[in-house]
Amino acid sequence: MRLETLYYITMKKIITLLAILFSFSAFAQNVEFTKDNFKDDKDGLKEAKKNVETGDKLFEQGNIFYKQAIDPYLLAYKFNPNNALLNYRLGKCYLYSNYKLKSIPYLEKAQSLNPQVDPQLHYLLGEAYHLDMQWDKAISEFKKFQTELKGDELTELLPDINHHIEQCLNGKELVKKPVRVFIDNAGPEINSQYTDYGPVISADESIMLFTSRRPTTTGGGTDPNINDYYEDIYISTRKDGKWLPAKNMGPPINTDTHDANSGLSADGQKFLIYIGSNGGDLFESELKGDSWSKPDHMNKNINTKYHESSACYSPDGKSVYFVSDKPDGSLGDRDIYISTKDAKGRWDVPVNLGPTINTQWGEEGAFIHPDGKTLYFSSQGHNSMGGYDIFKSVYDDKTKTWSEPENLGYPVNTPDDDVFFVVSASGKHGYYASFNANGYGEKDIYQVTFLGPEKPMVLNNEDNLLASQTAPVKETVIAPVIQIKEAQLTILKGVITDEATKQPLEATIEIVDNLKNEVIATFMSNSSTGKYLVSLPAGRNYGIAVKKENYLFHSENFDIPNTAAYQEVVKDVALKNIAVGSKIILKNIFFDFDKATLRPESTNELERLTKLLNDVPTLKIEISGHTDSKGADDYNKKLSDSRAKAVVAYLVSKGIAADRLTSVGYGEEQPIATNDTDEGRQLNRRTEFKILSK
Amino acid sequence: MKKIVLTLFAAALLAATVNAQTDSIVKAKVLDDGSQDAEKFYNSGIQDFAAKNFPSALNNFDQAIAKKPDFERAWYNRGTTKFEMKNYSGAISDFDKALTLAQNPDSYFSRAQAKYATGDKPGATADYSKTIEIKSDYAQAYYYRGGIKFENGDYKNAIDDFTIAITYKPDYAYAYNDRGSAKRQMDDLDGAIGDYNKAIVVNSEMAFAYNNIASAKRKKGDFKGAISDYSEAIRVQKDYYVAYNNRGSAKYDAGDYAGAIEDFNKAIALKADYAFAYNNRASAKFKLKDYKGSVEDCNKAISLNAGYGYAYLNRGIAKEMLRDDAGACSDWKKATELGVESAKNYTGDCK
Repeated sequence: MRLETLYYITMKKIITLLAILFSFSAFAQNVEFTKDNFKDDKDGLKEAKKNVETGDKLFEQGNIFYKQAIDPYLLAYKFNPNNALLNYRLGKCYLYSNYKLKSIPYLEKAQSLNPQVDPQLHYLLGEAYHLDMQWDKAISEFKKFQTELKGDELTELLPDINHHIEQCLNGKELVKKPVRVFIDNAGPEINSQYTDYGPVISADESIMLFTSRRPTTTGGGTDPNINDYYEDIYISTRKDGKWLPAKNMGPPINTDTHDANSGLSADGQKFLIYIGSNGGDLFESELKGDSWSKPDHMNKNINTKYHESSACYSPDGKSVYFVSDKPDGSLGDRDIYISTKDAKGRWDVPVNLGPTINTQWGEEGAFIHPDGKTLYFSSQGHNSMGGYDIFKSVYDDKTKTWSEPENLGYPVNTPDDDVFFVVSASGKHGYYASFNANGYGEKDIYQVTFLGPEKPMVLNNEDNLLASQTAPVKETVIAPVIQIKEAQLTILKGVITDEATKQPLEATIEIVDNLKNEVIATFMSNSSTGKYLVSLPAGRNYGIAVKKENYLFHSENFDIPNTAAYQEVVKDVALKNIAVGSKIILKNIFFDFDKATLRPESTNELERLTKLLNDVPTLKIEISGHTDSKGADDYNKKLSDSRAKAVVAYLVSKGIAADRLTSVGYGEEQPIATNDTDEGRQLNRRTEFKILSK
Repeated sequence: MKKIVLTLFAAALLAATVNAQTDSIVKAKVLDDGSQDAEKFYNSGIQDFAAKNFPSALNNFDQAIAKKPDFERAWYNRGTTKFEMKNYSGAISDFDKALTLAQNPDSYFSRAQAKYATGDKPGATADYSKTIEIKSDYAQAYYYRGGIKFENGDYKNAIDDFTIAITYKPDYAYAYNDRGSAKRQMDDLDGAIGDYNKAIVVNSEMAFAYNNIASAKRKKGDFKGAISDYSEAIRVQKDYYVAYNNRGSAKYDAGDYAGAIEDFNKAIALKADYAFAYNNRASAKFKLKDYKGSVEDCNKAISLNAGYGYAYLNRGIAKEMLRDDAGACSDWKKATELGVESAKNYTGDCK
């Protein structure tokens, strides 16, 4: 290379460099709102300063007013886009609004105009980049913020800074493996232009309650603390797969102050309410017929002077999982506790769920799935990618431990707060609230559909394997099997009616673990609709008894092995009056194979029968045994007869007078179903009782 | 006289090229006396055969046999002519007759070919074995017998036959290729690649051998190597749609979905009714999130082959992403009916 050429190139470089420097310094010139800077536009300056002042007044009132400061600030910005403080404040306002990512250009510009504009600048930029998933830039800003801190300030803020950095590193990993979901807006029947959030659903997704801050709030008031309308609770039901327009639940649920729903029971007949009094307390309400009861304050074991913010029922209704920030027994910040009803039906002393679930950071929004063992909750700790993330953990009844919480993954979780997540019994859908610019305004409720791992497409190929053959040989492909994880439970639901009048009945539904011979849960059907819903987690043999005074009880048996897939069973029950000739099938009486020995699983049903005979002392009944058509007629008759006798013997042993009881073995004479299928034969093998006189 | 002999010799050569695998037409003996009418017809038949004028050849061989019923070579040549005319049963009965006149290994071999053509694989195998019994170094008989074993899934014994064929005919490119394929079917991919490479050393213009190397490499997960060998196959045979479809699949495996689509497009341009290429293009479109395009390609594959289970499976997967749950379910159920096991796992949520 010749010397002149080299010189030319060097000069060119310097010129370019100077040009860059020059443009940078021109850009980086902080322009104050002064007369000197705007000699030609005094009126404009006056107007702009007024806007800055308006914005500043709102800004100084704290972050709940930030979003209102944006408009005047933007007007001032239009006049003078190069003021460092204005850019900083505008950025900060956006960061606390729904449009958080809009903060980035303003904060960046503030930094280029005057890096010293505010000591928080690096931190805010870090947060903004964090929300925008610009992980490395966020980490770099958080680190810069840290280097500027000293002494106590550093000691105090360091854990938070490190936490942010850790969350960015978590986020970097989580976004690499996104989960396959559809996220759909729940639609205009649910969502409004106002803030809609905190959805809860019944197990079969037929009912949704949620909280909203709308101008039509009961009492029409605004909470000065949040600069927004008071919360009210809304309800919607789903028909033919579509949500019907949500209705304000009205009094006594909604009051003039904040009323926010929390957990809804699996059958949609009970729910928990958060009310802002006493630092935040939890209440219960129950659906009686078609009206909700006045919210009942939960006892002192649950509510403290601290903030009890949310709760949910276990599917058997016997426990509540709730969140409190009380310091006593806490592992840090808000924690999740469980309280179980004592023998008298009172909520007992709560227990912290322990360090597998609760962290030094906040936990919120516990939701126990209708399977009774999968807990969905939000946490700022674990491997959250920012704010609260949603996690799930499964309880092992044998080891009495929770599994390591699993982050639900991106895009369900985001760097922002993801909280109050509920999941349908099928495990297919989740519901939660979030802000999306394409929504109906403010926060909206969204439905998440879990798609599971990607289903592989299968390609087909062929080769000319044999040279002497012109026809190619198709390659044998075996498509890999993708196991689709399903919730392991059965939802049993239906309507209970009076067999004669067809009117809905409020009846007791008793769920019994036949092997353990204990009542797991008791529910009531709704008096005005007769509807009931029970959740039967896999792995048990369930006896189900539907009872009501003056009616014969109805029994069902569900043997649901651990391997059973999710299913929804609709079983309408028509209860029979205690009348001569009425008969019922005792579905929870079991005998040893080919014998007349009563199995221990039958105890509960036999006790129910004993109780009925004690309750109505005049009742005389016939116990009959029936078999399927397999085996010889004589043999079947004999077997069914000795089985009926075994039941009678049991009743006599429990003090029922023998002359009230008749036993008969019908063998295969009275089938109630076909004997050609396994299912049919199973139905035919049964024990019945019939009322002879009352 | 000398001229006739030369002509006949040339005719025999031509016949040999027509049917590369079988020296099916045998030249006549030197004619030395004017009364040999049968031989004259016979020679004319050979000329016709060389000119692919098979009806005329048949007529001439008929005449030769009429003149001389024990003319063993005429029976043989007429059988070969019938074979070319796809009259396999006629060919078989002519070879039968030739074999009553002389135990010529070629007659057994040709009868084996004819039997195979009628689908009589055991008969063909027996005749190849008979050929070998008479002439133990008959490489082609081993080769074809090996081919039948391959088709029957008896890869191990097929390999043995191909190996003997190669022993007697060390430049037997086809035998190397087919032995490679048998090894591949036994999952000996390295052995397969070795044999395919030997086939190419002998004959570097065999497109299918390059294709087969590539497929073995693809099976090994060497997508780059596979793509390069498929390209060789395409270089040798420009209209080799099978190789385009396969190269597209290797590109798919390597994550180059746009490149895959280009190849599937070419396969389709070359063979408009190639259902596999439509199905595979549907897969690549799915990966590029073009779910609508994916469904359309599956539709086409299904319209070409109504029993195409995998196309139903794939269409269901694409429909799920288009939020057509009912459509997806009905496709997965159809795929299950058509024997695609994996589809069963997807129907759990179906109503």
